[in-house]
Amino acid sequence: MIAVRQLTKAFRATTALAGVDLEIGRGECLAIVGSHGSGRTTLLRILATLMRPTSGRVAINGLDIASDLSQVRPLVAYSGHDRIDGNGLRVDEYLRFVASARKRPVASAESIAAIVGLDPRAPIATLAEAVQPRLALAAALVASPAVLLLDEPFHLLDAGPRPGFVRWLLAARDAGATIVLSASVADDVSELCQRVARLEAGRIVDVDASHRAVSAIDSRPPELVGA
Amino acid sequence: MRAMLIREALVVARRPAVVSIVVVYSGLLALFLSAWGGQRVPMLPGATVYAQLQLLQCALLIVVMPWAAARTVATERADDLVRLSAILAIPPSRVIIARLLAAAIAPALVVAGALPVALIAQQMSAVPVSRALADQITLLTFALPAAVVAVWWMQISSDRLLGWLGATASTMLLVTVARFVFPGALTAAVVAAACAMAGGAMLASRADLWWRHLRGESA
Repeated sequence: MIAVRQLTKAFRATTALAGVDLEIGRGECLAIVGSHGSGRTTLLRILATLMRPTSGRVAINGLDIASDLSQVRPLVAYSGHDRIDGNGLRVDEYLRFVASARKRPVASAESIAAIVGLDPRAPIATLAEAVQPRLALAAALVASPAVLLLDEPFHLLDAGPRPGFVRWLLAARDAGATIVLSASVADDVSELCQRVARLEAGRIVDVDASHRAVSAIDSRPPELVGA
Repeated sequence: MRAMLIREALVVARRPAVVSIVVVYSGLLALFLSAWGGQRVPMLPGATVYAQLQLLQCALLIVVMPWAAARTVATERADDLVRLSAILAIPPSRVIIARLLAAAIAPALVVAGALPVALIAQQMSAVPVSRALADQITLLTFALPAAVVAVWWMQISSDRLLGWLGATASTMLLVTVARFVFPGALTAAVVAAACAMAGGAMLASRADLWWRHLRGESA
Protein backbone atom coordinates (compact mmCIF):
# COMPACT_ATOMS: atom_id res chain seq x y z
CA MET A 1 0.00 0.00 0.00
CA ILE A 2 2.82 2.40 0.90
CA ALA A 3 6.28 2.25 -0.67
CA VAL A 4 8.96 4.65 0.49
CA ARG A 5 12.29 4.73 -1.34
CA GLN A 6 15.36 6.68 -0.24
CA LEU A 7 13.25 9.43 1.27
CA THR A 8 15.12 12.50 2.47
CA LYS A 9 13.95 15.77 3.94
CA ALA A 10 16.19 18.66 4.85
CA PHE A 11 15.23 21.91 6.59
CA ARG A 12 18.03 24.34 5.81
CA ALA A 13 20.94 22.93 7.81
CA THR A 14 18.93 20.19 9.53
CA THR A 15 18.39 16.80 7.96
CA ALA A 16 15.12 15.39 9.30
CA LEU A 17 15.04 12.27 7.12
CA ALA A 18 18.14 10.73 5.64
CA GLY A 19 17.24 7.95 3.25
CA VAL A 20 14.17 6.18 4.63
CA ASP A 21 13.02 2.95 2.98
CA LEU A 22 9.72 1.37 4.01
CA GLU A 23 7.10 -1.00 2.67
CA ILE A 24 3.73 -1.11 4.40
CA GLY A 25 1.04 -3.51 3.27
CA ARG A 26 -2.71 -3.09 2.98
CA GLY A 27 -4.44 -3.76 6.28
CA GLU A 28 -1.18 -3.45 8.18
CA CYS A 29 -0.49 -1.31 11.22
CA LEU A 30 3.04 0.02 11.55
CA ALA A 31 4.23 1.90 14.59
CA ILE A 32 7.07 4.34 14.22
CA VAL A 33 9.00 4.94 17.37
CA GLY A 34 11.97 7.15 18.03
CA SER A 35 13.30 9.88 20.20
CA HIS A 36 12.41 13.57 20.01
CA GLY A 37 13.71 14.99 16.73
CA SER A 38 14.12 11.60 15.09
CA GLY A 39 11.93 12.63 12.15
CA ARG A 40 8.69 10.78 12.91
CA THR A 41 6.38 13.76 12.42
CA THR A 42 8.19 14.76 9.24
CA LEU A 43 7.83 11.23 7.85
CA LEU A 44 4.11 11.15 8.67
CA ARG A 45 3.55 14.60 7.17
CA ILE A 46 5.26 13.57 3.95
CA LEU A 47 3.16 10.40 3.77
CA ALA A 48 0.12 12.62 4.34
CA THR A 49 1.16 14.80 1.35
CA LEU A 50 1.39 17.81 3.64
CA MET A 51 5.11 18.18 3.06
CA ARG A 52 7.27 17.80 -0.01
CA PRO A 53 10.24 15.46 0.29
CA THR A 54 13.66 16.81 -0.60
CA SER A 55 14.42 13.66 -2.55
CA GLY A 56 13.28 10.09 -2.84
CA ARG A 57 9.95 8.62 -3.84
CA VAL A 58 6.77 7.80 -1.96
CA ALA A 59 3.97 5.83 -3.59
CA ILE A 60 0.59 5.19 -2.02
CA ASN A 61 -1.52 2.55 -3.70
CA GLY A 62 0.86 2.86 -6.67
CA LEU A 63 0.34 6.62 -6.97
CA ASP A 64 3.24 9.01 -6.58
CA ILE A 65 2.51 11.55 -3.85
CA ALA A 66 4.24 14.32 -5.80
CA SER A 67 2.73 13.89 -9.25
CA ASP A 68 -0.64 12.34 -8.31
CA LEU A 69 -1.45 14.56 -5.33
CA SER A 70 -5.15 15.01 -6.08
CA GLN A 71 -5.62 11.24 -6.35
CA VAL A 72 -3.55 10.45 -3.27
CA ARG A 73 -5.24 12.89 -0.87
CA PRO A 74 -8.59 11.09 -0.78
CA LEU A 75 -6.67 7.93 0.21
CA VAL A 76 -5.00 9.40 3.28
CA ALA A 77 -5.90 11.26 6.45
CA TYR A 78 -3.45 12.67 8.96
CA SER A 79 -3.84 13.69 12.54
CA GLY A 80 -1.15 15.71 14.25
CA HIS A 81 -1.20 17.98 17.25
CA ASP A 82 -2.33 21.15 15.48
CA ARG A 83 -5.24 23.26 16.61
CA ILE A 84 -8.29 23.52 14.39
CA ASP A 85 -9.98 26.90 14.18
CA GLY A 86 -13.62 26.28 15.00
CA ASN A 87 -14.91 29.38 13.19
CA GLY A 88 -17.96 29.30 15.44
CA LEU A 89 -18.83 25.66 14.71
CA ARG A 90 -19.54 22.84 17.15
CA VAL A 91 -17.59 19.57 17.25
CA ASP A 92 -20.36 17.58 15.58
CA GLU A 93 -20.86 20.21 12.88
CA TYR A 94 -17.18 20.18 11.98
CA LEU A 95 -17.03 16.38 11.90
CA ARG A 96 -20.21 16.16 9.81
CA PHE A 97 -18.65 18.62 7.41
CA VAL A 98 -15.52 16.43 7.11
CA ALA A 99 -17.67 13.33 6.61
CA SER A 100 -19.74 15.09 3.98
CA ALA A 101 -16.67 16.34 2.08
CA ARG A 102 -15.17 12.83 2.21
CA LYS A 103 -18.50 11.29 1.19
CA ARG A 104 -18.71 9.27 4.38
CA PRO A 105 -21.84 8.70 6.51
CA VAL A 106 -22.42 11.87 8.50
CA ALA A 107 -24.07 9.83 11.24
CA SER A 108 -20.64 8.54 12.29
CA ALA A 109 -19.60 12.03 13.42
CA GLU A 110 -21.18 11.91 16.87
CA SER A 111 -20.05 8.38 17.70
CA ILE A 112 -16.46 9.14 16.66
CA ALA A 113 -16.45 12.32 18.73
CA ALA A 114 -17.42 10.18 21.71
CA ILE A 115 -14.69 7.62 20.87
CA VAL A 116 -11.98 10.26 21.26
CA GLY A 117 -13.68 11.70 24.35
CA LEU A 118 -15.16 14.86 22.86
CA ASP A 119 -18.59 16.25 23.58
CA PRO A 120 -20.22 16.44 20.13
CA ARG A 121 -22.33 19.44 21.08
CA ALA A 122 -19.41 21.46 22.46
CA PRO A 123 -18.42 24.58 20.53
CA ILE A 124 -14.88 24.06 19.21
CA ALA A 125 -13.78 27.38 20.64
CA THR A 126 -14.56 26.15 24.16
CA LEU A 127 -12.41 23.00 23.98
CA ALA A 128 -9.53 22.98 26.44
CA GLU A 129 -6.04 23.41 25.02
CA ALA A 130 -5.08 19.82 25.83
CA VAL A 131 -8.26 18.39 24.34
CA GLN A 132 -8.40 20.48 21.16
CA PRO A 133 -6.01 18.26 19.09
CA ARG A 134 -8.46 15.37 19.55
CA LEU A 135 -10.65 17.11 17.02
CA ALA A 136 -8.07 16.52 14.29
CA LEU A 137 -7.86 12.91 15.43
CA ALA A 138 -11.64 12.55 15.24
CA ALA A 139 -11.63 14.18 11.79
CA ALA A 140 -9.07 11.65 10.55
CA LEU A 141 -11.24 8.80 11.85
CA VAL A 142 -14.39 10.30 10.32
CA ALA A 143 -12.58 10.54 6.96
CA SER A 144 -11.97 6.79 7.30
CA PRO A 145 -9.41 6.65 4.52
CA ALA A 146 -7.42 3.73 3.12
CA VAL A 147 -4.33 5.03 4.90
CA LEU A 148 -4.60 6.51 8.38
CA LEU A 149 -1.57 8.48 9.60
CA LEU A 150 -1.62 9.32 13.30
CA ASP A 151 1.06 11.27 15.09
CA GLU A 152 1.18 10.25 18.76
CA PRO A 153 -2.55 9.54 19.02
CA PHE A 154 -2.23 7.93 22.46
CA HIS A 155 -0.55 11.03 23.78
CA LEU A 156 -3.81 12.91 23.15
CA LEU A 157 -6.11 10.48 24.93
CA ASP A 158 -6.45 9.76 28.61
CA ALA A 159 -7.30 6.34 29.99
CA GLY A 160 -11.06 6.70 29.47
CA PRO A 161 -11.38 6.81 25.69
CA ARG A 162 -8.28 4.69 24.91
CA PRO A 163 -9.90 1.22 24.81
CA GLY A 164 -12.69 2.39 22.50
CA PHE A 165 -10.19 4.15 20.28
CA VAL A 166 -8.01 1.04 20.00
CA ARG A 167 -11.09 -1.07 19.21
CA TRP A 168 -12.03 1.36 16.45
CA LEU A 169 -8.52 1.19 14.97
CA LEU A 170 -8.46 -2.61 15.18
CA ALA A 171 -11.77 -2.79 13.34
CA ALA A 172 -10.50 -0.36 10.68
CA ARG A 173 -7.29 -2.36 10.28
CA ASP A 174 -9.20 -5.61 9.99
CA ALA A 175 -11.42 -3.98 7.38
CA GLY A 176 -8.32 -3.29 5.27
CA ALA A 177 -7.18 0.16 6.37
CA THR A 178 -3.45 0.73 6.58
CA ILE A 179 -2.45 2.48 9.78
CA VAL A 180 0.86 4.23 10.40
CA LEU A 181 1.27 5.83 13.80
CA SER A 182 3.99 7.19 15.98
CA ALA A 183 3.94 6.03 19.58
CA SER A 184 5.92 5.97 22.75
CA VAL A 185 4.06 3.45 24.88
CA ALA A 186 4.67 -0.22 24.07
CA ASP A 187 1.33 -1.46 25.39
CA ASP A 188 -0.68 0.69 22.98
CA VAL A 189 1.35 -0.39 20.00
CA SER A 190 1.58 -4.09 20.83
CA GLU A 191 -2.17 -4.55 20.76
CA LEU A 192 -2.58 -2.75 17.49
CA CYS A 193 0.48 -2.92 15.26
CA GLN A 194 2.03 -5.93 13.61
CA ARG A 195 5.37 -4.20 13.07
CA VAL A 196 7.40 -1.51 14.75
CA ALA A 197 9.95 0.67 12.95
CA ARG A 198 12.51 2.53 14.96
CA LEU A 199 13.62 5.87 13.59
CA GLU A 200 16.83 7.50 14.73
CA ALA A 201 18.31 10.67 13.31
CA GLY A 202 16.16 10.37 10.22
CA ARG A 203 16.99 6.74 9.48
CA ILE A 204 15.07 3.53 10.05
CA VAL A 205 17.42 1.53 12.24
CA ASP A 206 15.19 -1.39 13.05
CA VAL A 207 11.93 -2.86 11.77
CA ASP A 208 10.57 -5.89 13.50
CA ALA A 209 7.41 -7.67 14.49
CA SER A 210 8.43 -8.47 18.04
CA HIS A 211 8.12 -4.91 19.39
CA ARG A 212 11.73 -5.07 20.49
CA ALA A 213 12.22 -1.62 19.03
CA VAL A 214 9.71 -0.06 21.39
CA SER A 215 11.37 -1.18 24.58
CA ALA A 216 14.22 1.23 24.01
CA ILE A 217 11.97 4.27 24.45
CA ASP A 218 9.48 3.07 27.03
CA SER A 219 11.17 4.86 29.87
CA ARG A 220 10.94 8.26 28.20
CA PRO A 221 8.43 10.71 29.67
CA PRO A 222 5.54 11.31 27.25
CA GLU A 223 6.08 15.09 27.06
CA LEU A 224 9.30 14.51 25.15
CA VAL A 225 7.39 12.98 22.29
CA GLY A 226 6.23 14.90 19.27
CA ALA A 227 9.24 15.35 17.03
CA MET B 1 -17.89 21.43 -3.14
CA ARG B 2 -21.43 21.44 -1.75
CA ALA B 3 -20.16 20.55 1.71
CA MET B 4 -17.59 23.32 1.49
CA LEU B 5 -20.19 25.89 0.45
CA ILE B 6 -22.51 24.88 3.28
CA ARG B 7 -19.70 25.07 5.82
CA GLU B 8 -18.49 28.50 4.66
CA ALA B 9 -22.04 29.84 4.69
CA LEU B 10 -22.61 28.36 8.17
CA VAL B 11 -19.46 30.06 9.42
CA VAL B 12 -20.69 33.42 8.11
CA ALA B 13 -24.15 32.87 9.58
CA ARG B 14 -22.68 32.04 13.01
CA ARG B 15 -20.73 35.27 13.27
CA PRO B 16 -22.53 37.66 15.61
CA ALA B 17 -20.96 40.47 13.60
CA VAL B 18 -23.41 39.96 10.72
CA VAL B 19 -26.43 41.06 12.73
CA SER B 20 -24.61 43.95 14.39
CA ILE B 21 -23.30 45.25 11.06
CA VAL B 22 -26.78 45.14 9.50
CA VAL B 23 -28.31 46.85 12.55
CA VAL B 24 -25.64 49.57 12.76
CA TYR B 25 -25.71 50.32 9.03
CA SER B 26 -29.51 50.37 8.76
CA GLY B 27 -29.68 52.32 12.01
CA LEU B 28 -27.37 55.03 10.70
CA LEU B 29 -29.45 55.37 7.55
CA ALA B 30 -32.69 55.49 9.56
CA LEU B 31 -31.14 58.10 11.83
CA PHE B 32 -30.25 60.19 8.80
CA LEU B 33 -33.83 60.02 7.57
CA SER B 34 -35.39 60.82 10.92
CA ALA B 35 -32.99 63.71 11.58
CA TRP B 36 -33.14 65.42 8.24
CA GLY B 37 -35.72 63.61 6.15
CA GLY B 38 -38.69 65.94 6.60
CA GLN B 39 -36.71 69.16 6.29
CA ARG B 40 -34.62 70.88 3.69
CA VAL B 41 -31.36 68.99 3.75
CA PRO B 42 -28.34 71.19 4.37
CA MET B 43 -25.84 68.72 2.95
CA LEU B 44 -26.62 69.02 -0.76
CA PRO B 45 -28.96 71.89 -1.59
CA GLY B 46 -31.44 70.93 -4.26
CA ALA B 47 -30.92 67.20 -3.91
CA THR B 48 -33.78 64.99 -2.77
CA VAL B 49 -33.55 63.13 0.51
CA TYR B 50 -33.38 59.92 -1.50
CA ALA B 51 -30.35 61.16 -3.49
CA GLN B 52 -28.63 62.18 -0.29
CA LEU B 53 -29.42 58.88 1.39
CA GLN B 54 -27.89 57.12 -1.61
CA LEU B 55 -24.75 59.17 -1.24
CA LEU B 56 -24.56 58.26 2.42
CA GLN B 57 -25.18 54.60 1.57
CA CYS B 58 -22.26 54.61 -0.90
CA ALA B 59 -19.92 56.29 1.56
CA LEU B 60 -20.80 53.87 4.35
CA LEU B 61 -20.78 50.76 2.19
CA ILE B 62 -17.24 51.34 0.95
CA VAL B 63 -16.12 50.90 4.57
CA VAL B 64 -18.78 48.52 5.84
CA MET B 65 -18.80 45.99 3.00
CA PRO B 66 -15.12 44.94 3.22
CA TRP B 67 -15.42 44.95 7.01
CA ALA B 68 -18.49 42.71 6.90
CA ALA B 69 -16.73 40.28 4.57
CA ALA B 70 -13.45 40.30 6.48
CA ARG B 71 -15.16 39.98 9.85
CA THR B 72 -17.37 37.04 8.92
CA VAL B 73 -15.36 34.90 6.55
CA ALA B 74 -13.69 31.67 7.81
CA THR B 75 -10.20 32.33 9.09
CA GLU B 76 -7.99 29.47 7.84
CA ARG B 77 -5.01 30.74 5.90
CA ALA B 78 -1.57 29.47 4.89
CA ASP B 79 -0.75 26.21 6.72
CA ASP B 80 -4.22 25.93 8.25
CA LEU B 81 -5.69 26.09 4.76
CA VAL B 82 -3.30 23.34 3.63
CA ARG B 83 -4.41 21.12 6.52
CA LEU B 84 -8.08 21.84 5.87
CA SER B 85 -7.71 21.03 2.21
CA ALA B 86 -5.86 17.79 3.05
CA ILE B 87 -8.31 16.48 5.63
CA LEU B 88 -11.23 17.23 3.31
CA ALA B 89 -9.37 15.93 0.24
CA ILE B 90 -10.59 19.04 -1.57
CA PRO B 91 -8.18 21.17 -3.62
CA PRO B 92 -7.42 24.57 -2.01
CA SER B 93 -8.90 26.28 -5.09
CA ARG B 94 -12.35 24.90 -4.22
CA VAL B 95 -12.02 26.01 -0.62
CA ILE B 96 -11.24 29.50 -1.89
CA ILE B 97 -14.12 29.54 -4.38
CA ALA B 98 -16.56 28.53 -1.64
CA ARG B 99 -15.08 31.18 0.63
CA LEU B 100 -15.40 33.89 -2.02
CA LEU B 101 -19.06 33.09 -2.51
CA ALA B 102 -19.73 32.93 1.23
CA ALA B 103 -17.86 36.18 1.82
CA ALA B 104 -20.35 37.99 -0.40
CA ILE B 105 -23.23 36.94 1.88
CA ALA B 106 -22.54 39.43 4.68
CA PRO B 107 -22.12 42.53 2.46
CA ALA B 108 -25.22 41.51 0.52
CA LEU B 109 -27.17 41.17 3.77
CA VAL B 110 -26.01 44.62 4.81
CA VAL B 111 -27.43 46.14 1.62
CA ALA B 112 -30.60 44.07 1.79
CA GLY B 113 -31.13 44.96 5.44
CA ALA B 114 -31.30 48.64 4.58
CA LEU B 115 -33.87 48.17 1.83
CA PRO B 116 -36.83 49.34 3.98
CA VAL B 117 -35.00 52.59 4.81
CA ALA B 118 -34.22 53.14 1.12
CA LEU B 119 -37.87 52.55 0.24
CA ILE B 120 -39.01 55.06 2.87
CA ALA B 121 -36.64 57.64 1.36
CA GLN B 122 -37.97 56.77 -2.08
CA GLN B 123 -41.55 57.42 -0.86
CA MET B 124 -40.50 60.71 0.77
CA SER B 125 -38.83 61.91 -2.41
CA ALA B 126 -41.49 60.58 -4.80
CA VAL B 127 -38.89 58.64 -6.77
CA PRO B 128 -40.20 55.68 -8.81
CA VAL B 129 -39.89 52.44 -6.87
CA SER B 130 -38.30 50.77 -9.90
CA ARG B 131 -35.44 53.27 -9.71
CA ALA B 132 -34.97 52.63 -5.99
CA LEU B 133 -34.85 48.90 -6.59
CA ALA B 134 -32.38 49.32 -9.46
CA ASP B 135 -30.16 51.46 -7.21
CA GLN B 136 -30.24 48.83 -4.48
CA ILE B 137 -29.36 46.10 -6.99
CA THR B 138 -26.43 48.24 -8.10
CA LEU B 139 -25.24 48.48 -4.50
CA LEU B 140 -25.80 44.76 -4.11
CA THR B 141 -23.53 44.12 -7.09
CA PHE B 142 -20.69 45.80 -5.21
CA ALA B 143 -20.89 43.03 -2.58
CA LEU B 144 -18.96 40.74 -4.91
CA PRO B 145 -15.90 42.99 -5.40
CA ALA B 146 -15.89 43.78 -1.69
CA ALA B 147 -15.96 40.07 -0.85
CA VAL B 148 -13.22 39.13 -3.31
CA VAL B 149 -10.95 41.95 -2.16
CA ALA B 150 -11.55 41.03 1.49
CA VAL B 151 -10.77 37.34 0.92
CA TRP B 152 -7.60 38.25 -0.99
CA TRP B 153 -6.46 40.42 1.89
CA MET B 154 -7.45 37.93 4.58
CA GLN B 155 -5.48 35.21 2.85
CA ILE B 156 -2.29 37.20 2.49
CA SER B 157 -2.45 39.11 5.75
CA SER B 158 -1.87 37.47 9.13
CA ASP B 159 -3.71 40.22 10.98
CA ARG B 160 -7.46 40.67 10.63
CA LEU B 161 -7.37 44.42 11.21
CA LEU B 162 -4.66 44.86 8.61
CA GLY B 163 -6.67 42.68 6.24
CA TRP B 164 -9.75 44.82 6.72
CA LEU B 165 -7.83 48.09 6.29
CA GLY B 166 -6.19 46.75 3.14
CA ALA B 167 -9.52 45.47 1.84
CA THR B 168 -11.22 48.80 2.54
CA ALA B 169 -8.50 50.79 0.78
CA SER B 170 -8.52 48.41 -2.19
CA THR B 171 -12.32 48.45 -2.46
CA MET B 172 -12.33 52.23 -2.30
CA LEU B 173 -9.75 52.37 -5.07
CA LEU B 174 -11.60 49.83 -7.22
CA VAL B 175 -14.96 51.57 -6.81
CA THR B 176 -13.49 55.02 -7.44
CA VAL B 177 -11.70 53.92 -10.59
CA ALA B 178 -14.77 52.06 -11.86
CA ARG B 179 -17.02 55.04 -11.09
CA PHE B 180 -14.57 57.47 -12.73
CA VAL B 181 -14.12 55.43 -15.91
CA PHE B 182 -17.76 54.38 -16.21
CA PRO B 183 -20.19 57.22 -15.37
CA GLY B 184 -23.22 54.94 -14.98
CA ALA B 185 -23.37 53.45 -11.48
CA LEU B 186 -24.72 50.11 -12.69
CA THR B 187 -22.08 49.85 -15.40
CA ALA B 188 -19.38 50.65 -12.86
CA ALA B 189 -20.78 48.02 -10.49
CA VAL B 190 -20.92 45.39 -13.22
CA VAL B 191 -17.37 46.19 -14.34
CA ALA B 192 -16.14 46.06 -10.72
CA ALA B 193 -17.92 42.72 -10.27
CA ALA B 194 -16.35 41.39 -13.47
CA CYS B 195 -12.91 42.52 -12.27
CA ALA B 196 -13.61 40.88 -8.93
CA MET B 197 -14.57 37.61 -10.59
CA ALA B 198 -11.32 37.69 -12.53
CA GLY B 199 -9.44 38.41 -9.30
CA GLY B 200 -11.28 35.62 -7.54
CA ALA B 201 -10.48 33.18 -10.34
CA MET B 202 -6.83 34.23 -10.14
CA LEU B 203 -6.73 33.63 -6.37
CA ALA B 204 -8.40 30.24 -6.77
CA SER B 205 -5.97 29.19 -9.48
CA ARG B 206 -2.96 30.33 -7.42
CA ALA B 207 -4.34 28.61 -4.31
CA ASP B 208 -3.48 25.16 -5.67
CA LEU B 209 0.15 26.26 -5.99
CA TRP B 210 0.50 28.42 -2.88
CA TRP B 211 -1.33 26.19 -0.41
CA ARG B 212 -0.49 22.77 -1.73
CA HIS B 213 1.99 21.93 1.03
CA LEU B 214 2.92 23.26 4.45
CA ARG B 215 5.53 25.97 4.37
CA GLY B 216 7.73 23.61 6.39
CA GLU B 217 10.17 25.94 8.08
CA SER B 218 10.77 23.44 10.85
CA ALA B 219 10.88 19.73 11.43
